[in-house]
Amino acid sequence: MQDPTYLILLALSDRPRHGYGILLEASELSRGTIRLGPGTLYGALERLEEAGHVELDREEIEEGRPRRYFRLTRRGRSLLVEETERREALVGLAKQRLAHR
Amino acid sequence: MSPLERRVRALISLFPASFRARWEEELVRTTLETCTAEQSWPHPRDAWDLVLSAIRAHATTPATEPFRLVLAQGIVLGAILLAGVRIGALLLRFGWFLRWLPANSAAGVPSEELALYAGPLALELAAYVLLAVALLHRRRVLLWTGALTLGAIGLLGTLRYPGPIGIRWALGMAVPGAIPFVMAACTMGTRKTERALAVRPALVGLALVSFAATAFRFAAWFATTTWHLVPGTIDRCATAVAALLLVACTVSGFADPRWFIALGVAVIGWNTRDFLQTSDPLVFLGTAVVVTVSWVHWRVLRRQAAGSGQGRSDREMA
Repeated sequence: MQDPTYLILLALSDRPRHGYGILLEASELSRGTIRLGPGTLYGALERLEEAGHVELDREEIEEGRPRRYFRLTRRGRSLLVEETERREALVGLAKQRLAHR
Repeated sequence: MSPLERRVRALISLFPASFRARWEEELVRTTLETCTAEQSWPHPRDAWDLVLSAIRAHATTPATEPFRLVLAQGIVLGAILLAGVRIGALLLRFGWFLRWLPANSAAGVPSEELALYAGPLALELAAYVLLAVALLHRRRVLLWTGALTLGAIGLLGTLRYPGPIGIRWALGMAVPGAIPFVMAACTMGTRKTERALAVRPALVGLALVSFAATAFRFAAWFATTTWHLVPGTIDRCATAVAALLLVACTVSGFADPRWFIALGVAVIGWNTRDFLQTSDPLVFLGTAVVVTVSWVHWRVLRRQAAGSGQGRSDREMA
């Protein structure tokens, strides 16, 4: 899983968010080091939605335009947990290796 | 609609139609939200991100439309690829001509060469520019001007070489050129086929493919002169690779069928020209392979489409 996808899942892990909300949260989570573009975001959302990891939470009309909120599905959450464990294991290995030097 | 929104929408129109049907308004809204009130252009980084994501979406979005639409899209894309390859090759040849000219102008500019070589090249390039403008602005007059220009080039060849050679030359010039025009005319004629579907990816595709074609021509020329190959070897190899790719993709069912139909159309169109002008049996063989494979591919797709119900999309079936 690439960083942008991981960040999107992570941004949705606490509560449903809309597109711009995900961008802001992802930027904050990565402390500004990763800045998602809108194209990347919706490309990833489509793939995640098709794979059943993310679903539509609700749709609101704001200023005459639709605003969709997305939430993590149970499958999405378990994918996020799995990926976090994988990343954690990798970081653990890296730390061990660096400590030996 | 603000200028900013218009520009953002123009970028978003690069995405495939199926993607836009689901995400367009959302994407517009979110992109606008990342801009400040003073901005009249999207941030270059976001614009680049949209373009790249659009290309990615085209390459990965499965063809969920009914089969006849997929086939139509594939053919349109193929015509666009062909036009791109043609423009790349033309630009390169024009460049060579300009380099060749000063060395030969000491003995007086050969006006016959100019009329024979540079004239048709410039006309054909102009015809493609007209095609692009006509498609973008939906101007029928421009479209037919472009088509007539190509016809005129053909005529020029027939006048220069009377008899069968001239006719062959004219056909070789007109057929590959005519394919994009016929496709463009059809796209404009049918209201059902979305214009954006054919035109927007075209602009990205054209730029990329002309660049790639120019690079390919140069590499082919370089390889031919360095290793003293028989002229045309590289073209045949490329045709073979394209045919093999088609076979591999057909067999494995990999990726979006539209791109492979497109590749088939482009290769056929490209080789038609060589075959008409040189009657080279190897070119004919290569073309025959590609035509056969495209046909098999088409049959496979048709069976799949029949299997999932005529006129209904896979998405609906799912």
